[in-house]
Amino acid sequence: MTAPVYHAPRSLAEALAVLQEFRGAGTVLAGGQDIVPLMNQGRLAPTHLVDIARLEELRNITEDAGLTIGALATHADLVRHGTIRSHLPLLVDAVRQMGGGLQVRNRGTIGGSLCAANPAYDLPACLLVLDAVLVLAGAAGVRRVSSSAFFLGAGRTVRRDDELLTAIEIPALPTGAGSAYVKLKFMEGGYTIAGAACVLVASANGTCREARLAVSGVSAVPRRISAAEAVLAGHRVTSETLAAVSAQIAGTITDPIEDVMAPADYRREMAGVMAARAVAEAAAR
Amino acid sequence: MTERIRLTVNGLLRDLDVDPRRALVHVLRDQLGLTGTHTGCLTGHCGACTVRLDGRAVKSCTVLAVSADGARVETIEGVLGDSALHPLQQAFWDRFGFQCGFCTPGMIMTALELLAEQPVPDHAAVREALSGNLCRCTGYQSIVDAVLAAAEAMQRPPERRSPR
Repeated sequence: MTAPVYHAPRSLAEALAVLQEFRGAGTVLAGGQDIVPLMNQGRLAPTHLVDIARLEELRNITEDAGLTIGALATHADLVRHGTIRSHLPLLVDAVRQMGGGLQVRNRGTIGGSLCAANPAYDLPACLLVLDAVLVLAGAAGVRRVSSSAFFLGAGRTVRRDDELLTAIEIPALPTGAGSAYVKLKFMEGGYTIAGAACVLVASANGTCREARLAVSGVSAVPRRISAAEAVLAGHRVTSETLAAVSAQIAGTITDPIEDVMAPADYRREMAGVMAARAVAEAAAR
Repeated sequence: MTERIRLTVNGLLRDLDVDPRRALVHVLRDQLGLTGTHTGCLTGHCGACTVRLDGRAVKSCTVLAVSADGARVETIEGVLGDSALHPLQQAFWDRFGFQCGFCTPGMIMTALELLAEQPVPDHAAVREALSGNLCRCTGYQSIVDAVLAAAEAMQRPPERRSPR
């Protein structure tokens, strides 16, 4: 195998030009937490390596009505950010439950984690319940894609190979919203068996005005479970509603992943359990 | 084809020609002879190759050397003072924080960041910080004890440096 041609563009425009020129042959490198291990193992041999890590313009987290997270912000940047800590605790939950420790948080980027589209990763389900929008830049311009439309399958997204994910836009949550992400893994550095993200918006009378629930780790693509959301809407969070949420989730997932870590039925059941825990946690916040 | 990069490794400027496929850990070990940084899994799991890159702990098997161009790198060799062990190294020694020692450099490089950010961590904070470092001798309890002991030692004024 020959060494890849290494490109280190200094601006977004330059990066997009390189991707356009080597369309189909350019491998985007950001924090490298997915790609470099694959290269070490000989499972990936890029011909053109496009290292976007120097595009400082993609590193910022900015606040307007909501929050815009640059694709090169790291997981450590997320958990250090004041507004994320106070208003979006589910993202802090997700990062703290990730495998890999401080080192992976320091180096791994949010954009890389999303573009990897690994079903075991935690942020995709969180973005679904936040109604996040992903910003893709290409030579032809910018397009915005709903997080619910971004993931196509394990390792596959709608990002074209001449595009870069530049930012994630998170609309402000309604007043009274609580959020949480809970997952099951078998060891500290292990991958997600099942995870659930929840946003709950409470009414003045203590019932749920709005509930958003998504599961991860269970199917190739993370998804919102609207049938379980409907169970909560207009009701209080009680042991009965939590049991109904669990049952609804377990009943809705028809294509659970089965692998060496867990059988399909176990994953389906655990997705229900994690969802109930995420709802209870979000309700308490 | 190689790429020319410049690193500041343990305070020394180093100009290197590197294969763009090579992880930083290989360049540190094979091109600079800094073998205190260990190659474990090469998949980002074990943490034995942890170094500090611009002050932050990273697994150097997950960083291509070429993408570290211009960075400051600190390895376990840079932790040792002029003669005395760093308080973290001393605490690992005193508290039996290692058995075979393979994971120790990575543990110490990670713990350095924890203590820089949180000088008085509790037990849970140490465990969370070290969650990306594996010890296959299962010495976690004494490793956590060592980091807590080091944190305490680093809070005390250094006695040896008193002017008497």
